[in-house]
Amino acid sequence: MKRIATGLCAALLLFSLVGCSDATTNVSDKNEALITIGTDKITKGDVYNGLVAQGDISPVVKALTTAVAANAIETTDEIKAAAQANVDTLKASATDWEAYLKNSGYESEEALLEDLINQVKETKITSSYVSEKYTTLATRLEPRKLQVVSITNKDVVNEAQQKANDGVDFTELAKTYGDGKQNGVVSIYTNASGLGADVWKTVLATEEGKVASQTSYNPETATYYLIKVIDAKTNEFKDEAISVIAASTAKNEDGLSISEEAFNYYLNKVGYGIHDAIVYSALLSESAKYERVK
Amino acid sequence: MKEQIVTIIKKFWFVILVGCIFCSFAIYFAWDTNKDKIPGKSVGRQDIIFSAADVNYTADEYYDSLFNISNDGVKNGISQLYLLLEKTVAQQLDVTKEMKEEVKASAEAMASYYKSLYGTHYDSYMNMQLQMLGYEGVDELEEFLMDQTRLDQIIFEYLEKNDTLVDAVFTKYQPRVISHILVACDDPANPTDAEKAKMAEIKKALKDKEFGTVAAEYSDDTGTISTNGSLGLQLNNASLVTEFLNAAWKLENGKTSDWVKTEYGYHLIKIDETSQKKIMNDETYRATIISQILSDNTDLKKKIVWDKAEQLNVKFSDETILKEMKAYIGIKDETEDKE
Repeated sequence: MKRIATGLCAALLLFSLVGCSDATTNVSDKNEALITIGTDKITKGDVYNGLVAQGDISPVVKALTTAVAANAIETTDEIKAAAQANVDTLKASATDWEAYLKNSGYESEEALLEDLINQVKETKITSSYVSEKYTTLATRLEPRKLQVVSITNKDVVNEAQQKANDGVDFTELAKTYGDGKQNGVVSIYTNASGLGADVWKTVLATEEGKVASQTSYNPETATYYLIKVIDAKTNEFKDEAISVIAASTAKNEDGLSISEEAFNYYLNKVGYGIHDAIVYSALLSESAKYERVK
Repeated sequence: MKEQIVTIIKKFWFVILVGCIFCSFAIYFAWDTNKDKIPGKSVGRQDIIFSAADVNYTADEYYDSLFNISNDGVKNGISQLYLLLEKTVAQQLDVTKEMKEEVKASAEAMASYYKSLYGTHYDSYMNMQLQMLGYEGVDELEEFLMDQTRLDQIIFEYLEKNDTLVDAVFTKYQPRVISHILVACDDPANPTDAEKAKMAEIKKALKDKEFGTVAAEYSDDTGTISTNGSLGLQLNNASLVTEFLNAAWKLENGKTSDWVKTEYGYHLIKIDETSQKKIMNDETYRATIISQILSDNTDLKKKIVWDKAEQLNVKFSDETILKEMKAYIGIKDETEDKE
């Protein structure tokens, strides 16, 4: 009994201490000799290791992006039509269509169309994510439909604010007093649109349909802003807000932009598994969007 | 049976309890150690790099892509294969005891250099560089340096048989071993009395002492004090100030110049050696000459390696790779001529 228990414990201890090392990969025919000199062989495996060590992960990134787009984004008629339009454009400009396909590495027109469908789908990853996570992202980025006029000339600010309070149209105010950057047109803004923290406080404190009673100032850009809040109910302008949020460069708490966050979300949603430590390390050096969620 | 188990449990309950606790810890420790490791995955005989949805991206696919990526019209795979060919050809040469000692010293110097550049993470940088050249990593640094030494030997043997290349460098660049003594001046156009006095003192000292001894004693060039004023072998394309360069290449072997004014001050220049034979007999100087020959003849090193590989009866298993390798090296493919 004691011997069995001791043996079992020793085996478990050994197992726990040995552990497993991070996996790396090699080609299936890694021992195939490409060059032989005397008894020495240069194998496909040797070449693979050297090529991987060069750190070019572009083929992996392309394959990953394709896999995410193909599996996370539904192929709609709109996407098919956009891809087909691209095929038609290419076909119209090619002098020898068959040669073009061959030189571009496509076996057929269908293969090109499939690739282009995927390319269109790749462009939809971020907006699809924003649409799916709209409530969360709207809470984070606080989109508002606003009219904003930016003014850098301090002498005219008070006069412009008075006119705004009196109900003068913002586009007219922009023409008269503005610096041309924010021209008073109704647009979607977020707290990452670059108006500045103090200005954004004013936006949030202003009721829907009202003009902010005080001109707000962004010291970083030395700019004054006249603000009118058109709509603060984020679900009422969801479609417009989605494209604004998708294009935002705002970073989340992990330092990921919205597009990186979207990619990482879908990557892990489609059951992402990474099985080569060298490649994974190179991917993470490029962007944290390739991080697997444990 | 049941009674027996109960009896055993009653008798050894403490041992069993301790055993269970120990096992639990061991299992937890094993899980904790391995939970962040990258797990391997294979489908059939193919290693998988990543999986996502129904996609398994294999190492074979990655190899094909990497091999065929072109840089300046050359496939990555072919240039990588050439590096491995170079390494394998070098490894066919015998190693002497002197070579081993020399390589060991070079490896230590190189490791120190990388440490000074990259700190404690120096080994990861060295690993990356060496892996690209087909070595496992820093553990094979000596092997890499030995291969480079053997490669130099192959190139030298080739040049001994093809000495016109050496002659051409001596004709074009007129290599010479040069020493100098510098009296540094804040304003070389108006040397101070102290600077003038130092120049006079140096001239006087040279009447009784060797140039190198005086250089070590008086020269203001801190970079050459340890070499007794020697700048080593220089070619006429060296990055030396023009006045120095012009004066040095007017001098004959063994001669010393008068004071030469440059932006740094005043120099006495001595030509220590110009003989082709003597320069080529010195290992360090020879390396400079070989480096210049290889720089002037970009594909020469590859051709020398190829010549050696052919002597060693190199065999390619794939005709396409052979053709691409020959094109990369710059060798005309005879089979194409026949076609």
